[in-house]
Amino acid sequence: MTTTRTDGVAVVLGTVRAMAADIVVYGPPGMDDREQGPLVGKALEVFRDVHRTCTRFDPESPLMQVNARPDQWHVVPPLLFDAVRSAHGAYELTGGRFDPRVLGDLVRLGYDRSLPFAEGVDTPGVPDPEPRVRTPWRPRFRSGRRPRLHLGGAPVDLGGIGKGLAVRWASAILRDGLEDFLVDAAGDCHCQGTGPEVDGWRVGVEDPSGGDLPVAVLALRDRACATSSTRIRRWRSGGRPVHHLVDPSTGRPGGDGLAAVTVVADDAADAEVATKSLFLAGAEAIAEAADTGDVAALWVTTDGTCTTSTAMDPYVVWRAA
Amino acid sequence: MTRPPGAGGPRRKKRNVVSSTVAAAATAGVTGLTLAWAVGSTPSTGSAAGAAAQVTGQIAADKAAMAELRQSITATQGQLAALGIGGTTAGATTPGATLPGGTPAPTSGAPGTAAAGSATGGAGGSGNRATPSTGGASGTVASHGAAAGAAVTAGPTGSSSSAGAAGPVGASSPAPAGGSTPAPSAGGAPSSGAGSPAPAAPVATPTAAPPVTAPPATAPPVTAPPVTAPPATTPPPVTTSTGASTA
Repeated sequence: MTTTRTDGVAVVLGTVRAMAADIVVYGPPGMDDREQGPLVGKALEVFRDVHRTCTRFDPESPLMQVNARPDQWHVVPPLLFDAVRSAHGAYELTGGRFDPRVLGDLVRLGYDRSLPFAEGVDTPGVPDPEPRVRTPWRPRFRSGRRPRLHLGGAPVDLGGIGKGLAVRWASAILRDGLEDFLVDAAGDCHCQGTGPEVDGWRVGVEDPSGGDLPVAVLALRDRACATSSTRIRRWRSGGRPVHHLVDPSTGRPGGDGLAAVTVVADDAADAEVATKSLFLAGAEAIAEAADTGDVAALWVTTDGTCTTSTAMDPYVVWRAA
Repeated sequence: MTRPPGAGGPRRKKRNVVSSTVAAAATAGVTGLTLAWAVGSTPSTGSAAGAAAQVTGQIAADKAAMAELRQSITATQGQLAALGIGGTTAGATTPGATLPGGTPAPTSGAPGTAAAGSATGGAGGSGNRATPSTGGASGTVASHGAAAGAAVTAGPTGSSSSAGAAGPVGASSPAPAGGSTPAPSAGGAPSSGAGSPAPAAPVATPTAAPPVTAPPATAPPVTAPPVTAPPATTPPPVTTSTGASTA
């Protein structure tokens, strides 16, 4: 864990490399990072646990063990049990728009391992999936000292919610001892207290086209935010451009016309689910979907237009001209 | 004979008033819209009796002029009402009165308001379209029954103005843009208490009512320019960013 201080703006209380990202916990200026070390270390360990348990890129992970036999009961670690139960809750809450069973589609598109997206990836082409009749996802859960899980017949990918859950759980640990902190999980974050500012931690919303300046800056206090973007995890499959945000109703990359969606919510996992759900709504329907659900959302279309929902406006302290 | 202070005040003041030519003039220019009272004194004559007779005569003349002016104002109001702009605002003493066209006049002291001694509510901020109007007597002027009649025709870039909205005495602020055309008009009414020193102002003859520029039948709306500040091009410092994640 590093103890590097930033430029007098916020204090880095700890970092960890997990989930293919550098996870950082910040504190307000003046906070003694050594004093908070044990608590922060415990919080950061959550990310390692989630990664070890829920990664789909390690065949030995508990998730992949269950995925190998999704039609059977499994005794699983409590963390995996809670993660799948949370994913199922999100599935029901979004009417199936968030569906971790898209794992099969991701694999079909060639995303069956951690890909070097920055270098450019072109996976073998595959035909589009046949029109599908979606079946309800009905995993089963038996809690207890040794929780048991039945996936309901289909393997799942927890990548769409795992990092948000890690931020949720890490933040819960940190709240036991800190009133002011920021958990930054590279895309998902939780902002507790106000940070260096009087009205909330400043969080920039990246330009999905790769520009140096953010498209907006948010001030978040006791709020989490998450972004779903196609900027990095995009590749070519059989020569066709694809990305990782797959619409479970079609099996193909969704979100026509959108480049990125950011959501502010009370909880990071909820925000992450909401970003994916809204992204799949596409550019034409996202405004109505966000306002109908009173979701604080910001989205950037493929032509670079940045729009915010009514509920997001209070958080925006700056936006690009 | 020396009179105690105040003993002959009203009379003396009245004399001074009636022997004066009063003109209300509104000037709108780069330094602002200023309503000024210009007083030109008539030389007094020798004996007290003679002076009294002169005063009496002057009073009568001024009353006649005032009556004539009131008639003119009434006629003007009728003309404006016929044009469907709600008549004039003469005599209105409420700051923020609505201008023809629907733009509320700012309270006194805002750019473009006039108030040198007397008060006339200025209307509109900089860049507002001019609104021809009759000058309304208000504030101290109105209390003395003086009909004003300073027609103000502001230029396109000047602050528009509408008389009648009273402002605090002395509250004056510069108008940001010029282009206003002062239309000196006849005052002629006896007046007192226009307390502020009168800056140079055109002196009008106390005869006819001022010409009133008839507004178009359908006055275009007076729309203030947006005052939204342009967004800063440099974002504030952030602690972190949210965006595409690797995995």
